[in-house]
Amino acid sequence: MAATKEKPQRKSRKAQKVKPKLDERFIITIKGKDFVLYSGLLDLAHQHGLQRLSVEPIQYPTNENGHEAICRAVAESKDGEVFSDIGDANSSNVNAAISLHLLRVASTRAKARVLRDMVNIGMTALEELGGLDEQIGNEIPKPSASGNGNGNGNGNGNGNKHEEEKAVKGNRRSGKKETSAKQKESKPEPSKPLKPEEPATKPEAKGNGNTPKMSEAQSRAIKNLSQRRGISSEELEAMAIKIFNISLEYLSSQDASSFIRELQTA
Amino acid sequence: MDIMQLRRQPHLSASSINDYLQCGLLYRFSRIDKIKSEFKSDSLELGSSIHKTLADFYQEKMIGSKLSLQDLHASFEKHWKTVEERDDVEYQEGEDFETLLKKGKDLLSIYHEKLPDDDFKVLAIEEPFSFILDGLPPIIGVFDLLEEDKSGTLIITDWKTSSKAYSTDQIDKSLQLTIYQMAAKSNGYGDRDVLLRFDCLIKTKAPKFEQYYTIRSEVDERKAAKKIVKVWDAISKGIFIPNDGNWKCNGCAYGEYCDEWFSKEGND
Repeated sequence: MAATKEKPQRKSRKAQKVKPKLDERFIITIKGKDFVLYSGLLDLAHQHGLQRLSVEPIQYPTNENGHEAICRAVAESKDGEVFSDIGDANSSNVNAAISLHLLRVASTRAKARVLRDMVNIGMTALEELGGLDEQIGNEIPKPSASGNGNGNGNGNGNGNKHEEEKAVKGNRRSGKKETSAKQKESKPEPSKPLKPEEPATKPEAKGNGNTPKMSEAQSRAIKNLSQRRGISSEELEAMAIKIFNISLEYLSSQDASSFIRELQTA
Repeated sequence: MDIMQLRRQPHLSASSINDYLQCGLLYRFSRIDKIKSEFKSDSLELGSSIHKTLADFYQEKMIGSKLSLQDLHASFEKHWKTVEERDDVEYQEGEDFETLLKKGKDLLSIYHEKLPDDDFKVLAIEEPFSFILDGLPPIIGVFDLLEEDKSGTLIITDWKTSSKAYSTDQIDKSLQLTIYQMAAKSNGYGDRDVLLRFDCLIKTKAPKFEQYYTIRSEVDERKAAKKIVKVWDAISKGIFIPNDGNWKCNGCAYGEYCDEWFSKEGND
């Protein structure tokens, strides 16, 4: 049988190149305000060619410092630009349900902030917020995008006043890059590291790949338990993101189990 | 496993333990002295008929079909009719066979309307169980409904008919549900995630149906086990303390026996 050789159709490289864009599913609206999810920032950063994202605890929560955790995150773009920022978490700026995970919250906040700088997103990351009722309304400036764009803009994205005061001066929202040397200069004096409350593990998005997703029964149980405890669906979503770094619907089965336990004792 | 057979042997159950914790004397009259209660309450009988109706409903679900509202009502009427001829059922003021027939149908209408659709697979309906805690007689009971979802999570449901909505404590601290989880784990479901649920038909003026999901931790199981051991220890020693301040005393079917016990001289 004679084979006919077909010339493979090739798309031009130019046509294949897609401009990085924040996926709308990573934007959630709470009380009329838009927030970007950490997972969305991470996704966008990878589209931008994120080369490195590291985080280190610079203060472990202890009795002496009022149980405040501070982490520094550093991101490096494919062009070698280095961005740095910090995130903090203490019992007054996290939801009560996750007050045992301060170091992880601080880590996520630091990474969210540094990624926002890197990809030029003005929208506040949901993970930066403390208790929703406390934060939304007064302190959150109107986002520059209304949930249908990519979130790039000039909003200052300052969702956490307390944290902003601690942020390294000169590297916020200016779009300026920071060199490694500058980064070292601006590094605050770390507190004496004590025994950590939680391992400084990097919380990653779950519920995809080979991890079994939350089951139908688990989903029903989570909704039922939260309703019984007067937790609104918005607050529930925010809790899922804060604890597991991912939207409720994408929780893994294991995370859903632990979320149910959390809600049961809330 | 036959529940009648299980009941012939010395045993404990969630309801007997709850009876003891509620009132030691109630436990003694009903389970040791085996005194026939003075009457059966209409609420108990209504609940029992609804229970049988829901079992019919899930029997259909098990084979892949869904009972229509009309069928559900017919099933209830069939079960409730068996109460009509009985003279041991005591109706509360303003209630009779007909009013409760209507009430039962109204409750089931709400149930039929509000029950969320799900893909859960029915594993068993009214399934007897028995398990052992060290040094105690078997703990026996019946799961009203055992289901699993696609991930294998086990959902244990108990059907309730109640005069009011359940409180958080009634759900999250229910010893009955803890015992059910322990039973499931001892009967081949040890490797499963277990969710517990009350499906509650509420006899308010406008009838309501509510589902309450809950879970139990290993700590809850350990606490329950310790409590059960202590209950059995007290029963074995013949300690039956009356709880005559209980709000349930008003509707207790052993009121006369209780009064008699109090009026007797001596410690027995």
